[in-house]
Amino acid sequence: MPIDFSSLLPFEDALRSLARRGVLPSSLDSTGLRALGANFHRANFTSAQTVLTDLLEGYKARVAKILNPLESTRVDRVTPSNPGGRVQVGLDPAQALLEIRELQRSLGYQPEADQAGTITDLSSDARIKLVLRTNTQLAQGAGSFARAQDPELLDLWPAQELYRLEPRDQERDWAQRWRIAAAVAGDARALAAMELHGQMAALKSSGIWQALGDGEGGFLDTLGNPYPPFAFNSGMWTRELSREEAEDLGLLTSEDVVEANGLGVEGLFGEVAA
Amino acid sequence: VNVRVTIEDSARPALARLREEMGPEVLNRHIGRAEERLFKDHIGKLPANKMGRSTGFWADAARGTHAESSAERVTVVVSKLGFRQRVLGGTIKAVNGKYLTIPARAEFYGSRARAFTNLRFVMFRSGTAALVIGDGGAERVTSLGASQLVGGKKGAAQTVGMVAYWLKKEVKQKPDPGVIPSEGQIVGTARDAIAAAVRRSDSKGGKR
Repeated sequence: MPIDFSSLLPFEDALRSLARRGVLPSSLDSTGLRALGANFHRANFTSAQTVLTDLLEGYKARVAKILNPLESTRVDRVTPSNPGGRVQVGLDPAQALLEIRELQRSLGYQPEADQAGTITDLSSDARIKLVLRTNTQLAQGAGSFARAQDPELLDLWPAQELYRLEPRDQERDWAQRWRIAAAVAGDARALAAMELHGQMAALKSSGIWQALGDGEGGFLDTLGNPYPPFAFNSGMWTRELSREEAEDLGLLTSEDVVEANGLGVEGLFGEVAA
Repeated sequence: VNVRVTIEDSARPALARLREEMGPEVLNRHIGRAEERLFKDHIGKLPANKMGRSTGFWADAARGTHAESSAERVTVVVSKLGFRQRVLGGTIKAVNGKYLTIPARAEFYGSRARAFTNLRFVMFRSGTAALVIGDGGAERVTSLGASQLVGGKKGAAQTVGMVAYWLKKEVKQKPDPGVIPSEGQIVGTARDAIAAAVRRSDSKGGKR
């Protein structure tokens, strides 16, 4: 079973979900944008109180570069382990931050003196990182979600687990959110899996995923999607569970037929113009 | 970086049977799912850098990991700039400027030197170049209208002359194959996935 390192392949499902979102300037604050609902956000690339189209275009282009490093070859990078001299070229978040700030400078943006450095200052580290990170992760989450609904594999991979991928200084209580979302979705098996096995696991077809994204229980930090990151800066992600793992967790029996997520990939993302 | 796994032991009866039942492309997609999860879990658990400060690099890499499959092969793709360099190592040379900037302290990790003000260029007698903290301490530009002293008002990173970044014309990075699962783990995962598919087929009455 040979392993080789070869040319890059793009994460097309992630790029497709980003491509579908058209840039839309808006003077609404985060509360106003949230009220527009997840369908709006899956179709539009926006940011609170950001009316500069060029800035949003700049963000979108950089998110695409972060998502999709390309490849080139360089003679000076030829080594025994890399005889082709292949190197990745693209954008890392630190460089993207500087480029966005430079773009803002060229667009004449200047924060209000009393807001400088805060999250409402479009040029603040916190704001730029939030926009880049959230949109990158939304595309990756959407891409993973779309792939996970593959109807030919649902029988063998019927479930997924919510888990902490990144630590946070102040971690939100996702177990509590899970319980509430399970109750809202009427998913007793998902609730039992957590109580008995300590895992936040549910069938892909469960309504629990949308309930988590909707912030059921009054959580206002969520993004409205049935896929990660579910909420701003959550640090949470999902992993697929095999049929046997799902059966061991009591999420289904060997006789159960697995259904696709009722939301449907097409319903969520629609067609994307090439 | 891509890790391409080709299953060669097609003579095995179980594999041949599954290929017939599921079709080779679907079977490989199934194996790809298992490999994708192996890679995601492995990469997502890698420790933070030597300075103990996480920039989220490995989590980003885990989120960018996915499997692409065809009838012939399974390919695990890690879409993260810099990941290939971690695996294969090699020499990195300054391209866009004269020097590469290597953070010397945790406060400067994960940021470009251009994100700071009041860093001074020095060339030590040894010939080593560095950016050091100037009088009054280094400041991080946190927006177009604000900046902050690095490390706070009492932060050690205000010490005049303290090295913030080492400047190098090139650095040699050792390969670290440990950032991806071992070949044994990859092979084992493929075998486990095949075995699980056989058991599922049997439980559905597909046994012949």
